Amino acid sequence: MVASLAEWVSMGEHGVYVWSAWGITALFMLGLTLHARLERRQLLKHLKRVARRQASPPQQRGHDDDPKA
Amino acid sequence: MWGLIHKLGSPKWFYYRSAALQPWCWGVAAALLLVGSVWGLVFAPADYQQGNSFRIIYVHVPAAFLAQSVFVAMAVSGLVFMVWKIKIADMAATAMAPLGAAMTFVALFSGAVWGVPTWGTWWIWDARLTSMLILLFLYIGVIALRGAFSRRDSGARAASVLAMVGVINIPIIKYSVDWWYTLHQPASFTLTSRPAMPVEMWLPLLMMVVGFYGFFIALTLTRTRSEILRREANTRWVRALLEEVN
Amino acid sequence: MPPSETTERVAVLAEPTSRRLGVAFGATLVRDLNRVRRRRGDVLNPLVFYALTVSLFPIGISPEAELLAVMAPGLLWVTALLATLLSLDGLFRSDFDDGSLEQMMLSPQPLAALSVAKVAAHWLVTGLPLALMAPLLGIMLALPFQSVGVLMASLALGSASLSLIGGIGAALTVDLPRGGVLLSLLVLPLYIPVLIFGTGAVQAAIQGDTALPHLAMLGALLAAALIFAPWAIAASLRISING
Repeated sequence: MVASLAEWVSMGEHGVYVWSAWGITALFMLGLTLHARLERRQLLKHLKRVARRQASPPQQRGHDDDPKA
Repeated sequence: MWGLIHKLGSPKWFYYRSAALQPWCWGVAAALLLVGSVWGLVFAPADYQQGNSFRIIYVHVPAAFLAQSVFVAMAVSGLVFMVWKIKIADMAATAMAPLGAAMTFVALFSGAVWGVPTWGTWWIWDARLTSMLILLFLYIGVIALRGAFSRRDSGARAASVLAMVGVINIPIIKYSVDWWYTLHQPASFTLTSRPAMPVEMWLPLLMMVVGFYGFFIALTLTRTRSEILRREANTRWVRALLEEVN
Repeated sequence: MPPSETTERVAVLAEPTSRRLGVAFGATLVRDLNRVRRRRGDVLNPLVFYALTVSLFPIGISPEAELLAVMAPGLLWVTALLATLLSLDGLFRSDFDDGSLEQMMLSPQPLAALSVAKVAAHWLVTGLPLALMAPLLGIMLALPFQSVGVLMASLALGSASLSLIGGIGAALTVDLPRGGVLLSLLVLPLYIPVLIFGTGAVQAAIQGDTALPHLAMLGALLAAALIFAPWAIAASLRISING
């Protein structure tokens, strides 16, 4: 067990090593989790946009698809 | 048996079934990681030789386990994909590759950092660190090969073959690197003859290991589900699903 | 490439299965060796690369004989490995471009066996010459004389494994526009066991130990590569050809 917070943070001179190793690990795991969430959200948004565009009648899409425009 | 495999191979079935499973995986993983972290960082006693620096073990060992397991899982997925043409297997392999590479890097980084207080140097050509480094290159190779193909199916099959070749090679590499290391070993330290860990040290380690595996399963489920939507975007069930979400 | 040879080769492969596998294997081997006779650069380039790169090390590090002698096994092996890597890109490239690989795939003979013939030809024109040339460079690096025989044996044995393992990478990347860099990324990690036992053999010979266990390990690696690599090469070629 630890006596004080400062002592715990310093980890008996090994604080830098312990915290940097744990920090990188936490960073990667959080990053991967957030990336998975973001990936899913953006994918859903993108797919919905595509679905809406395909559902709408062609004349509304206007000259976007006209090769001569 | 075959019925189950066929169902598992169906992206739609998998997508709906995993929806219920997914939050549980994330919850269990988060709980285990949280408890394991607090236990390992606060309550576990310091090592009598290494002091507090041994607390790096709680991230180093689980990451190293995961790094190797993910590669094996990737190769097994590749085999399933190549033999039975089950697309889910390849989607899972795509989803887990970055995690495996990240965990390999984490294991390398924490090992190097751990080396400073233990060995007095950032990098040492230790057998385990060296084979981890090679594993990282293998991961990068698989990811890069998949990305290099313009057709997704070719990339998937090429990555599967490379993952299988890699998994056959990993034990050979490990063995030869171990052998190489004993030949050149600077006989200044050994970690082999350590006393057994007391319970209050290894129990949090066990929790962290299980927590890391839980994280792996949860993340792979989530990313596989995204991958299913991406690849099956033009099927009727995904369109119906998108309508529902709207 | 003149069309006559391709058609002749196709004729061999299209014959009924009464013609045995050996004929197809031999024909593939002879054809690849013949092509090399016409394009000598393919053989010479890795050798020149080998000599040139090895001679860079004394310039870059130190001309001191004692220092060089310590590093010689590693230098000779690592450079041979890179020279092999350099030649890999051409292993399937021209056959892929002119469609011969597709013919090979359609032939009644298993693609794995025919790819072993191609790899064998590759070893005969790169691995073996490298092993024969190594003693010359060894002398320049002050390699102790008693290890020259082991150096040649280890290189000859090891480069066969290198050609087989490299064949997998070459087959996987043959359809990619810039496969060269990727090829080295895929193949070099897999080369490490061969490198370890190859240099181990030479170092053992320098120290006066028997190099036999190391050579036996190289032989075991070659046997394992011979069992697994042909199937991996064939599967990879199918992926690259079928797109």
